[in-house]
Amino acid sequence: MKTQFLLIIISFLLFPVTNASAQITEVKQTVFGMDCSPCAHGLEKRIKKMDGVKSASVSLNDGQLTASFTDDNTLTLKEIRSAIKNSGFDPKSATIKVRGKLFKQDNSTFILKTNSGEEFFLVDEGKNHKLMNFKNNETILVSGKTEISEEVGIKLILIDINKSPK
Amino acid sequence: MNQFFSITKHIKYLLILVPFLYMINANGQGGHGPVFTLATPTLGQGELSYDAMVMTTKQNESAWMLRQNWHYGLTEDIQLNFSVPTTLKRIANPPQGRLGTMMGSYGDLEISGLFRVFKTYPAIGQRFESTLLLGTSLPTESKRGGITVGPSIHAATVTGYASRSFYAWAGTGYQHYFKKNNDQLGNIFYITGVVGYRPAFFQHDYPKPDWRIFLESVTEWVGNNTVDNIENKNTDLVRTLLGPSVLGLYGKWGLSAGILFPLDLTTTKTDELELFRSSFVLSYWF
Repeated sequence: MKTQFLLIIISFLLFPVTNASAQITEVKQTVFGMDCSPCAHGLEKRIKKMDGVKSASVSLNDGQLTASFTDDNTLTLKEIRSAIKNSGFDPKSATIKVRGKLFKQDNSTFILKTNSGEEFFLVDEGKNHKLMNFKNNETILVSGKTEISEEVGIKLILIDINKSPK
Repeated sequence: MNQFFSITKHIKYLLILVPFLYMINANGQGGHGPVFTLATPTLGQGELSYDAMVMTTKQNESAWMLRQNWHYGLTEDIQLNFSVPTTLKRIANPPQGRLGTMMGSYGDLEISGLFRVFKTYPAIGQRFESTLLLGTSLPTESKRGGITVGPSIHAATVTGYASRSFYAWAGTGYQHYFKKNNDQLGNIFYITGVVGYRPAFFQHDYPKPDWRIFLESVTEWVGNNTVDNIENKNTDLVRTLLGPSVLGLYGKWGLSAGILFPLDLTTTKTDELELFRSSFVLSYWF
């Protein structure tokens, strides 16, 4: 019993439960409804106040929020979209770069799961990203365009995919 | 000269107040524009903004008023407003009407709520929305134009469209004054309309300065006043005012100014024609 307890302690020390690897690293989020300078100011300030945000800027003419995040952030896309809604605007599709673990449910369903537990259903429209070449449970860095629906959740149309060093 | 000192005293208070505002931490949004007319936008959740507005209206004499407005976004669709008037220069019979429809009437302290009941965003930079404005006011002076002023309730609705280039809002409202000491100010029914345009020359991206121009119109139907429980039949009024305004936005600062001139005026109070109505507003989004 004592040995088992020690093993558990050691395993915790050797494999700490942390969110050290980044989740979302970059977001280019299309935002509808912003038409004025204070709109942009309010949204930019709100996003910059979130833990884990490295930089944030807003373009009114493009209707776009661009943000980058620290390596240890625990933010989810849902939280970013929620902040935009709280500012009074409508988040549409986004181009994001996100790191997480790949889970293959079968040969056609690929899910990227971040350390925060957010799931992205990966869609390889070009069929040339070789998702099959990545191992189950492997950490990958993916960039893609989001499509969000209540039924499916977050679909990520792949633009690029790489093995992640973390 | 005394009036000058009175005005400088109020400006001094404002200068004291403004640095204090910097200490409050919140986000900011809003500020779409018209000076005199109803508009739909509300602040985002937890956001705070402040306006200092200098208003003047001229009949035979000019009346001057400073109005300080606080706005707070309770949710992204509900905004609370607190509007405090300070009379800088009083005249005997100030015009009965809402000098700026989004805030209290002349000399009224007003608490109100904006409720955005409908919104849709058709494309980037565009919004189509409808908002209700409900408020109540308390007078800051016992008498106005010789009539004891009571509290009031106010309701308005506005629908409109805003984009990076064009703006248009149409609204209507009603303010009912309660009787006090057997006196009662006439109720105010009004409609407002505004169109705005931001020329390509001013369509620089944030955070560069953002300018837009508006053409604003207000029509007011003011009911008869009641004095000592007797309705004074000759105090009702219908007037339409029209004029330009401009809004400049730079980051969290806003500056707007406008002037309205009467197009048509039907009244028996011919010695109290309102010749113009003008406002200058400095806004800050925290």
